[in-house]
Amino acid sequence: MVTLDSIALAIVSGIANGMLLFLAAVGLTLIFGVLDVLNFAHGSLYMLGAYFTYFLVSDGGLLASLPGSFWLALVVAPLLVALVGVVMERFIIRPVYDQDHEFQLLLTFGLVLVIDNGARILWGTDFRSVSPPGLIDFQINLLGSGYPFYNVFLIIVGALAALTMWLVFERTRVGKIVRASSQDRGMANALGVNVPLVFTGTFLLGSLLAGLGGALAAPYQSIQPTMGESIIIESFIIVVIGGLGSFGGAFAGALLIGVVNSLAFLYLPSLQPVIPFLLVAVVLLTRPAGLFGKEVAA
Amino acid sequence: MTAVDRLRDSRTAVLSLGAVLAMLVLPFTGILSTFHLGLVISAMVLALFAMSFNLLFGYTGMLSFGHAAYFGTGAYTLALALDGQLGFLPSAFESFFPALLLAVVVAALVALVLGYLCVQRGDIYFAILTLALSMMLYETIYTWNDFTGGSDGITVLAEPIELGGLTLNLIDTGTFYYLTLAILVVSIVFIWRLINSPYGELLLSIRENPERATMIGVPVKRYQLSAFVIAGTFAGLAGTLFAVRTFIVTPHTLHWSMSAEPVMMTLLGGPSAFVGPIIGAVMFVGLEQFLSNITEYWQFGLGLLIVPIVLFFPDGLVGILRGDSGGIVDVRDYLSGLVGDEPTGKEDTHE
Amino acid sequence: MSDPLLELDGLTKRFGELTAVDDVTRSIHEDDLTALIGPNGAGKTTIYNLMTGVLSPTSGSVRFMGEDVTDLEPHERVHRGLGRSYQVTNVFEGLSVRRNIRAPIIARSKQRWNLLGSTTEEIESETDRVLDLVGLGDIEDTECSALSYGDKRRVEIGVSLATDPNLVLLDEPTAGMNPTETERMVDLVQNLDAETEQSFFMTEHDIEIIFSIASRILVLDRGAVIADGTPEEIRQNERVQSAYLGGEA
Ligand SMILES: Nc1ncnc2c1ncn2[C@@H]1O[C@H](COP(=O)(O)OP(=O)(O)OP(=O)(O)O)[C@@H](O)[C@H]1O
Ligand SMILES: [Mg+2]
Repeated sequence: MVTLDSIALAIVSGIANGMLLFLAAVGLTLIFGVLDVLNFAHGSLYMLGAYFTYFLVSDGGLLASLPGSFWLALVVAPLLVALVGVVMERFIIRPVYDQDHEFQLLLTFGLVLVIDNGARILWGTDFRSVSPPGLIDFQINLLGSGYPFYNVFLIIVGALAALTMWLVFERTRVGKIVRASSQDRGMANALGVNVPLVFTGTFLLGSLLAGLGGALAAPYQSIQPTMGESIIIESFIIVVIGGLGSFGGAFAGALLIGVVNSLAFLYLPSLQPVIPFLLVAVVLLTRPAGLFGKEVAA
Repeated sequence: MTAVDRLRDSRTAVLSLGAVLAMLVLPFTGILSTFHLGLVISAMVLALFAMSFNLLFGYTGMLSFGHAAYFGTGAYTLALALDGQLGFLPSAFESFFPALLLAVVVAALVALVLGYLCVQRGDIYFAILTLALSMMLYETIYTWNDFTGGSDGITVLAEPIELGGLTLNLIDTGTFYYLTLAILVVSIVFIWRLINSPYGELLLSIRENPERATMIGVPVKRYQLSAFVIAGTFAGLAGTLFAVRTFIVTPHTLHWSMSAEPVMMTLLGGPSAFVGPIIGAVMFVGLEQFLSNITEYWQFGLGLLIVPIVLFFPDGLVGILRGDSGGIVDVRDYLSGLVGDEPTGKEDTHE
Repeated sequence: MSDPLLELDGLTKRFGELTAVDDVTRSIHEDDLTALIGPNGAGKTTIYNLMTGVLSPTSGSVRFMGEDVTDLEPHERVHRGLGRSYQVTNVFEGLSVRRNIRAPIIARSKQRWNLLGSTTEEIESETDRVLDLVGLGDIEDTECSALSYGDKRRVEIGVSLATDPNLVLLDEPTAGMNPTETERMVDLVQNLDAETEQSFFMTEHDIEIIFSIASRILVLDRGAVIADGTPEEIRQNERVQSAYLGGEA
């Protein structure tokens, strides 16, 4: 039944899911904006974030016996993913910074094959799940119905992450340095900025965010090796809509896709899988440069 | 044309003729079991698929990560037509060749529509969009249960074809071998002509520098779209053969992992050579046989191969055989870079 | 005086806050070799991008040979006779010199949609003609990526000429060249201007070159034309001296 309340609830759920999409897409877009590298394997890092969380908190896991294991995992898993990301950047991606984007895509596509199939070999293809920690594992009363608080928690964490990032990039010296390096490498270098360090740092941050997204997703969706490919395709859709390299575009695009998906799931279930793609088609035909795209000339 | 060119051309002609003759007699030599003959058929089908991909990637500079959309469209259209599910069409389309023709036309039309969207924004968005839109088609077919059979797919039953007193039984491996070979050879000749035509030369200019191509009067998007449709048509053709060969068409034929196959084959063989995708298809089928004995998730091994290939040997096996890897990163530089702190491959070009 | 070849009317381009081209209204005539000069960032390349259609103007219009081309795609303007070479060498690196020159010739012939045939005699002989014109005949089979910088710039000019333009926009044809290469390039441009039907419109950093070959000079400063005249007049102009020549010394 279509009531205002049910629409409102669907929107809240959509925003919650949109925050996870944002955490994945923002790293992709950040790395593209600063390093000019499109990392196909970014979704695989998200998938690793979820698996690491699972192995840290499930029975026999490293953190399982500790109190507050989920909260610890929320810190440790993203750090582990960031480590994977940094190794990837240092040994595989760094040599191709100045190459064509196609080239980078092919290279990181090889990494997708390795990581995603590696996960299948190591961990099998069965679904895994993690339950939310007791502290936030309850229902709240939202517009007269019971609603999982975990979704609200996702919204809070996502919004905090977005706000922090925005403040760091717009208001701090570090943010200025990163933006300068993304605009003109040569100039930043001449001004004494350690550009390789900025790049590695950016890759680390992007991976960390993907890992955080995956870790937060662990209690939210079933954990399986194909999570990475789903999220990278969704992230691609988001950056087509929002414009690659645009922070605001990633945020708006992620929330838009989250909410549209959630509404479609409720009211147009048979069309739901194709709706994000239709959205892409509409954006392409009406605003070819994307919602936040900028005009570029040769 | 210089004497060297003529010599090279005649050598190519002799080699190709020899290759076709060898393929013609292959089933008679008895060195291959039916199973292995089947593998050769698979390699031929995939070679066609990969060549259609490389018409875009190697010759027009467009990296499509959604080429399975047209491959799968060809496969599904053939399956649906043979199955008599396209009731709105004359029943003639229930027999093989008309169904094949229909499938190829539908694949071309789908390529026209999706391609139109994909070429709207240049560069990196093309790869992203081809991937995204192919997955849209995948989701559609997957969800549209009543018509497409959902995840179960559709079985493909090709009735024997009566052709002027001759009966072709496509289920027979030998017969299908020759049909596939014939289609492959005709397609190769067509694609060869295409890339050596004036039109093909403009595609090369787009590959090299789309911005400049515009400024010499090439309507770049229109050329990209036309190449996309041609490539989609051949991918659809490969898809129909694939459908007959595997007896069943599932949504997997449209999935991104299917789109990844011509990418991998082209990288293995080498995108800069005309025969690269063909060689790559043979390598791919061989690697699959070899690696899938070790693990079900054999593409892990493929990934381990792809990374160093892209880094060090972007011209694939053909490049290695030519003694010119074409690599942007030299293996030795890379290894010494790991020890020292010098970043590798970061040479700035003249600006 | 003949009808103007190119007319800019109130041409303006803003990038956000920055006005890169500010209300430029000028015409270019066939008999002149017109030069556009101005300090770094004055907006010269942006004007070229507006004329060729790579960028669309914030306001104003571009007319070419009497026709309003403001809303035409870049390749359509090329077909109408507006050619362009780039400040940063921008050729088809992986193709031979011959193919670089042949591509624009194919692009303007009916052969451009010939999918399965071969190039015609006409195209080949026209290619030979342009190769001769820019003196690249003896290296026609070399791949561009293997050429010296000076030769690449000649290919750059050759590619523009091969589009058979009425007006060629040359964006700093001697950028980055050594003195010998510069001299050869200046000779080439002068010869082409004298011997062929094309007219030229060029930008250049080296003012001495401009003064020696241009018959008319436009001076651009912060997007606006601040002077327009013969080399003699420009030399005398005080505004130019303070805004540009002064800054240069
Ligand atoms: N696509 C763009 N987006 C934003 N600003 C731009 C863009 N293109 C040019 N500009 C700005 O417009 C101004 C004019 O640039 P333009 O390249 O036209 O100058 P120019 O006269 O050609 O300089 P030079 O002598 O260095 O070649 C500069 O401040 C430049 O930074
Ligand atoms: Mg300039």
